[in-house]
Amino acid sequence: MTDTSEPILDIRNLTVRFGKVAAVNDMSLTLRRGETLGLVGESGSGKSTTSRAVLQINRPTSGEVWFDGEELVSASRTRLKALRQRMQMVFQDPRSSLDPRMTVEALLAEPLVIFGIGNRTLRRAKVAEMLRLVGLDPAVGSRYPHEFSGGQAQRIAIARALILEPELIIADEPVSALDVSIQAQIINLLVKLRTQLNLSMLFIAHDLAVVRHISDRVAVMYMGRVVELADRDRLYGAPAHPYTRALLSAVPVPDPAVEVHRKREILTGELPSPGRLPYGCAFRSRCPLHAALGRPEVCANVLPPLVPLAPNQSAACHFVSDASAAAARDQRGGVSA
Amino acid sequence: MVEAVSSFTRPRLRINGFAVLGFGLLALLIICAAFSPWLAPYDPNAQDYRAVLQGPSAAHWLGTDHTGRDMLSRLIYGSRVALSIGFTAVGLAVLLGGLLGVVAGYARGLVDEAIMRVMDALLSFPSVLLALGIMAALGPGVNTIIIAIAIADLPMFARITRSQVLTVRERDFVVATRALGAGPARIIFRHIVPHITGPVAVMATIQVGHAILTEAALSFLGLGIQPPTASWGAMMRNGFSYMERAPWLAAFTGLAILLTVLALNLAGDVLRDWLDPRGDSRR
Repeated sequence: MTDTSEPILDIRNLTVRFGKVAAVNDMSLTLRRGETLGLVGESGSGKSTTSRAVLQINRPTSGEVWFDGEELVSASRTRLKALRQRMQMVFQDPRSSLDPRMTVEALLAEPLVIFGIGNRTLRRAKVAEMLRLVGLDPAVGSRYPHEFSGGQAQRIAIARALILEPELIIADEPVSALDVSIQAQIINLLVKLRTQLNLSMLFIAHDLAVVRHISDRVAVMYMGRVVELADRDRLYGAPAHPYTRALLSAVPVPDPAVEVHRKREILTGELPSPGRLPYGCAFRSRCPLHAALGRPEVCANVLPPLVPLAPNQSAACHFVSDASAAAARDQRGGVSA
Repeated sequence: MVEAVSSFTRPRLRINGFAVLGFGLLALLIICAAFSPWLAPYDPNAQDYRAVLQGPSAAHWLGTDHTGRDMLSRLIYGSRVALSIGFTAVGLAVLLGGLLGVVAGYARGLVDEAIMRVMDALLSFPSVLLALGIMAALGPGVNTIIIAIAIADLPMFARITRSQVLTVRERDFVVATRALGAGPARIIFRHIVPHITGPVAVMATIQVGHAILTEAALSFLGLGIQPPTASWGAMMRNGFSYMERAPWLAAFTGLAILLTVLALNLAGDVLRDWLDPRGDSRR
């Protein structure tokens, strides 16, 4: 059905700076065809900037973005426009991402108009079809976005992103602005549509619990870099990076008996200023492992690369394995970095 | 699975005393201007030397001036001059200033700098002084007065439009439309302009009042509308000469100007309340 060897999206050494602030820092990530990749990190970690840089809404400072074998950063305006048809975005808050002065019908038809697809009748039919697909009555076409609840509005935004029949969907925190009771509905809708339409999806969230159900693989970002990337079950079952572990321990367990005895790792320390990232590992100022190991120097001197630990897991930490822990002891013993 | 659709409600317009007063006066003025020939009891330029500088009477409700012309008729005809100059000048300023503002705000960078520095230069003159200078250079007349006022008001509309565009262009729905692949023309006219008309309309309404004042000031100084055309500014100047013998000339003219500017200011305020940005999402 799909070719798993050919990635649909390949982000290579992406850097996005706003003035002196590096929001995304030398980041690489690959999305396989038909896969859903969860991208998780706290606010300010560069998730949204990544998504916007991938779609060339904000131009990257450096790096490459390959979409189905074509490089986007250097692509011409016309080529980029043509490619946009195949990659669409769902935004965080549908109430702000849908123009409040346009009817649902006009909003959904707009992508078709921009790409000159179909005539009025065909577009109408397509709009109705998309509304039905996302679980709304096609009769809502004459209404305005503010007349809908957040969940319904996000369904409209999803329909708008899907009407061009894209291959790639970038969902930038699509449920963060919604009531918890509605979040699951929207995620289930995305799961259903993904399978039905054979979509590849980059799903961004600030909370590991949200991406668990939908993701095949999960990437964890910290200060503009990927610090851990693993298969979903691996990441939740055996998180390697101390930051991932801290994030996971913040997820409540829906079992009171377990919840009472659950140990939480509370991160202390300051989030470093993104304008002046510390040398070495950016996480060390808050890293419980760093503290427990007696603040090894390697963390301050060497930026940990993202290294494979298992076939389906890699992490960027000097001390994820005993071997690297031993190396650090040697280094503390006198060998300078 | 499908959530209940909230019931459709239109926002209720808050009608208050100021709204009635503002729009009522404005409507009256527009009627006066539109139907002057039918409303005015006399020819505004007909002189009657048997009835010079008369006070208000049954024959001449608002009295007569130094050549015996009926003040009421002149004020009614004067509303034509005032409103047409006010609306045309501001309309021009909105169109040109708005265009410059949209271009500056959307393009940003060097284009923005170039446009806005010129606007700043224009803005550094007091607007009446600027209009005065332009009138002095171009000579008196209705067209030049319109051009002078439009140029003097231009920078303000460029500024307000630019600042609105800068805000709206970063809103999610604009970013979303860009991500969709829409070109600048569609983004500007379909998604940005509809969201900035409110503040610009409010500004324009109030500015029409100012334009009428400017026209009156220029005519008062003898640079604007030339006699015998009934212009409020020129009538004011005339009334000024007969202040002691016939104070009603200046008083009634001043009242007409005052009520017009008041009406436009009130209308602008009411419009601002109706178009309140928080009413935008109407939730």
